[in-house]
Parts: sequence; structure tokens; C-alpha cells
Amino acid sequence: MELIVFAATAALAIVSACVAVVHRQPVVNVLSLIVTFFCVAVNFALLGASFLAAAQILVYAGAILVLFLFVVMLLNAPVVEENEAKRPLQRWGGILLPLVLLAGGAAVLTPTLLATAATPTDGTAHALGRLLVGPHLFAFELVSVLLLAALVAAMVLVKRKQ
Amino acid sequence: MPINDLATILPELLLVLVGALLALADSLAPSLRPRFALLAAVAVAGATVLRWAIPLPGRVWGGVLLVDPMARFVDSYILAALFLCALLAEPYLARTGARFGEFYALLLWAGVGAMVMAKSDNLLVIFVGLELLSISLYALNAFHTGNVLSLEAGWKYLVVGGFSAAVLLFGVALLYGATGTLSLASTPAPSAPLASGGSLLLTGLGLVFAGLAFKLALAPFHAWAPDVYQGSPTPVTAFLSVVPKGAALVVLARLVAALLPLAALPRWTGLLAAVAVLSMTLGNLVAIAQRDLKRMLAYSGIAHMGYALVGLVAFGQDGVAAVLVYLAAYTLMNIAAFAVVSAFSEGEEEPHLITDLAGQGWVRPGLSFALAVAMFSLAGIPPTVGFAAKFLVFRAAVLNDLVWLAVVGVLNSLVSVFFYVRVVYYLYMRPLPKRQPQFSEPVLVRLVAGLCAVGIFLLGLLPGIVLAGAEVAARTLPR
Repeated sequence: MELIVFAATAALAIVSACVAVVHRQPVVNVLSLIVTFFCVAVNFALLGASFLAAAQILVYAGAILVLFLFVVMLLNAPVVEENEAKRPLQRWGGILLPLVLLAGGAAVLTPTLLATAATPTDGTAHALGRLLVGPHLFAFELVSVLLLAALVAAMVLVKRKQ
Repeated sequence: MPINDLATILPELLLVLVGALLALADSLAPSLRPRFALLAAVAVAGATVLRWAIPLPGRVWGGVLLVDPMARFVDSYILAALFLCALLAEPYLARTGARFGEFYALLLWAGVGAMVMAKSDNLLVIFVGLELLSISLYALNAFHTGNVLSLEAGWKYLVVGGFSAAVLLFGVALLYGATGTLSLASTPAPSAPLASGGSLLLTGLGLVFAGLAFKLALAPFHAWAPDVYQGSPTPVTAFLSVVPKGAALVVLARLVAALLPLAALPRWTGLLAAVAVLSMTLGNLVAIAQRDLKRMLAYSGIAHMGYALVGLVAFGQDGVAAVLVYLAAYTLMNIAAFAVVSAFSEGEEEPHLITDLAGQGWVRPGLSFALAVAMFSLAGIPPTVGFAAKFLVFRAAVLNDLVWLAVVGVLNSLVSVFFYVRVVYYLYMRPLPKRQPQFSEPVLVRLVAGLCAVGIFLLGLLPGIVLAGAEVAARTLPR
């Protein structure tokens, strides 16, 4: 049962992620990204990370991407036109290369991946909190600097007039 | 967390705080704007003093950070680069009317990201540090928002940086799956059987290496470098060409030291050697064809990272020490070159053509001499520090039975002499053009160029000063 759910959501996640990248309609891009995040949340839940799964749906799929959707609709983002310069080499290379990598990765990694089963861990908010202020305290604090830097960077690029 | 752990990261804390204060001061006290560069430089100097004043306890923060001689060495030259770039930035920002506190804030935070990378033993922290460095740099690259080239640089660095971060993260995930730990040093001992075979480990290692190679602009991951170097504001280019590369190289050194016994040895070093040879050759050959000085320096940077990688392929203590000396030398030479480029530019939109330098050697002797010194040093001609660094790297290769690699490196250096000396030729042996270029030559930029030129000669004549520190630092790595 778990395997079926995993296979279905994983496949759907990959397909919808591809749609999010390739499709020319911005609204469709955002919607398919929501589908991707839902599928990833299901995979988190399968691994036992229940809090992370909830946060993924509440914060990312629920709040952030809905905000994206509003922005796309309010700003009337234009549909991406067919590229004026066709680049057959880049296009076919872009399709072929991931397939080669996929085949190579499958050949190398399948034996080891089949031998190791995922073990569900304690994924409650309590366990996650202990990790964040325990072994990962430094990374946690550094992320706050990172977010500050990202905020300032975005403001500089958008708002500053020279 | 005990207070003692906080004391070990005082330099980083100082820079983060001063960065935030400068960003705030921009709106609260705009009259201070002309002093921002000075404040940032003083903060960097203070951080350097702190770094040398506090003891080196080794493993802190629950084993996540390694505050060891290696970290101190790398921090020192990151801080030196920050200091020089902050001084370099002031005239640029004044000229483009963008004297904003946020510039220095982002610059200082980028430095903190690099410093964290250089002393981290935890793959997660390395990743967060790399992102702090990269995100700050995306905005700095595009800081000159009125210039299309600058925006293009920011955009390209963003796309390539995001892609390489994803590759790196995937590799980290695979490494975690293979070893069961995020810590580099506590990976299983060589004799212990790996949890799930070596293929997972090798794949993860390959992906992490590719992610770092993007930052190092090693061939074949170099394609972003020329456009980003050309478009970014010149002080940012100087920073970008030195600091991320140093941090990424140190991470790579720690990674190799920790995982070398685990991975199948010949395959891994073969990969590194191939990338080194490819970078040297491609960088030097394509640099010959460049007409823009900044683009030429981009390709020269690709080649120089190839030379530095030779030291890592050789590994051992002499190899790592050579890489560290190389990084210090590279910092001085590159910042000197970019400082002069910044002084010899009419407007930021203009291309920085090598032909525009014709005859300047006699009109502007000081700056021209600094550029000539930087070029000779990049080419590796004694008595400059570039020669000492190259000598150490190639000696390490020879001592570790990699004579062929040293020969390829020396041949490449010979090729590179052509395009470096061509710049000197234009400076001194070509007549002045009829149209007199209106170069701005701010005092601060001349000061930076002069400092670097003195440093190039001083360390070139007495390489022992920096080599001693590098050898102490290299001893902290296992093997």
C-alpha cells in the first residue's frame, strides 16, 4: 500500500514539476507547483515526518504559492511567447542529458537503494524542535542571517533608485 | 550553548552586526553615507584583530565548526579581501550615485558566508554558508541597476548559482545516505565497511564536487564567469573573483581529506586531475582571444583555479600548504588588477578594452606599474608572489609523483605569459591614442593598488612569512 502511494505521488511530483518549468502560462506554472508541493508533503508523511508534511502544505502550498498566484493574476503576467531564436541543440540537449543522467543514476544506484529501506523517524514538532536548537543550532541561526541578507538584497534591487 | 562557543565566532558576529547597522544607518543617518566605507573597513580590521586575538579551540558548536589554524588562515585573507574591496567600492559608489549602506551590508554578509564555509565541518552548515555568500552576491552583481550588463551579470549568476546549489544539495543528500552523518570528520574509518556500498558515496561526492566547481569556475563549469566578471561592478568583481573561490577550495580540501580514504582513490584523483588540466588549458587558450580586460581576467581566473587544483590533487601537507599560499597570492594579484581596471575606466557602461591602455605607462606611471606588477605576478615571473605560489604547487605535484601534471602546468604558464605581457606591452610600448581617455583615478583605488603591489613584492621576496602560516594550517587536516 505504502509503495503504491509513494510511486503514485513521486511520479506525479516529477510530472507536475516538469509542467511547472515547461508550460508557457504563468498561472499553470504556479498551480502545477502546488501539486508538486502536495505530493512532496505526502512523501514526507510516508517517511514519518508528520510535522514537516503539515508545514509544507500549510506554509508552502497554502500560503506562499497562493500569494504567488495572486501576484501572477494581479500583475497580469504575460504568457511567455515562443522564443524568437530557436535553439534546437540546446532543446534536444536539455531533453537528452537528464535522460542520460537518469539512466546512469538508475544503473549505479538501484542496487544500493533496493538494499536500504527507509525507516520512518520521529517527525513530530517536538523532535524537530530539539534538532533545531540542539545539533543544528548554528545552522539555524545562520539561516536567520541568510534570510535577512535575502530580504535586504531583494529590497535593494527593487526599490533603490540611483 | 555555552558562552564560550559564542566567543569563538566573535569576528563573524561583529561583521553581521555592523552590516545590519550600516543598512539601518542608511535610512536613519543618511549624512553618514560618505563614511560607510570607512566604517566597514574598520569593522573588518576589528574582525581580523579578534580572529587573531581569540584562541583556537578547534571543534566548537557541537562539532559543527572547526576553529583551527586552517580556519584562521583562510579567514585572514577573506578579511583582507573584504577590507580592500570595501575601500575599492567607495569611489565606485560615489561615481554611480549609489552610496547605499546596503552595499556594505551585503558585502560584509557575503564575507561571513565565506568565513563560515571555510571553517565548517558540517555539510548542512557549508550549504547555508554558501547560500549566504551567493545570495548576497546576486544582489551585489546587479547593484548597478541602471546598467544592462550589471543586471545580466546578476541574473546569470543567480541562475547558475541556483542550479549549482541544487546539484550540491543533491550530492549532500546522497553523501548523508551513504555515510549516515553530515559531519565530514566523523565519516566511517577506512577499514569499516560502508553502510550501503561505495557507488552512492562516489555519486554524492561527484555531485558535491560539481556544485563547488561551479563556484570555482573550473572548466567545464566555467561558462558563467566571463559575462559575470564583465558586467558586475568592478569592486564586486574583485571580491567575486577571490573570496568564493577560496572558501570553496577550502571546503574541497576538507572534503578530500575526510573522504579520500573511503572513495576509490585513483578514480577520484583522476577526476580532479582531469578537471585541473582542462581548466588550465581552456582558460589560458581562450584568454588569448579576449579584448576586454575584465573578460581576460575571468579566463585567467579559470586557469588559476586549475593550477590551485593541482595542489589538491597532489594533496599531502605540502600540497595543501601550496594551495593556501596560492590563494593568498591570487587574492593580492587579482585585487591589484581589478583596482587598476577600476581606476582605468571612463564609465561603467564602457568596455574595458586592453587597447585603451595604450601609452598609459608614461602618463599614469603609478597605476600602470601596479597593473604591470599584477600581470607579471599572474604570469608567475619572479620575484613576485605569483612565482612563489606556482613553484610551491608544482613542487608538491612533483614530490607526489605527478610529474606530468606539473609539466602541463608549466607549459600552460608559458602560454599565459603571452596575454599577460601583452597588457604590459600596451601600457609601455604603444603610442598614446589621439583621443585621451578620461580616466577617473580616485585616491582610495590607487591606495589599494599600491598596497597590493607592495604585498606582491614583499611576499614574492619573502614567501616564508605566508608559507609558515600555511604549513601550520595544512597540518590540521588529517593524513
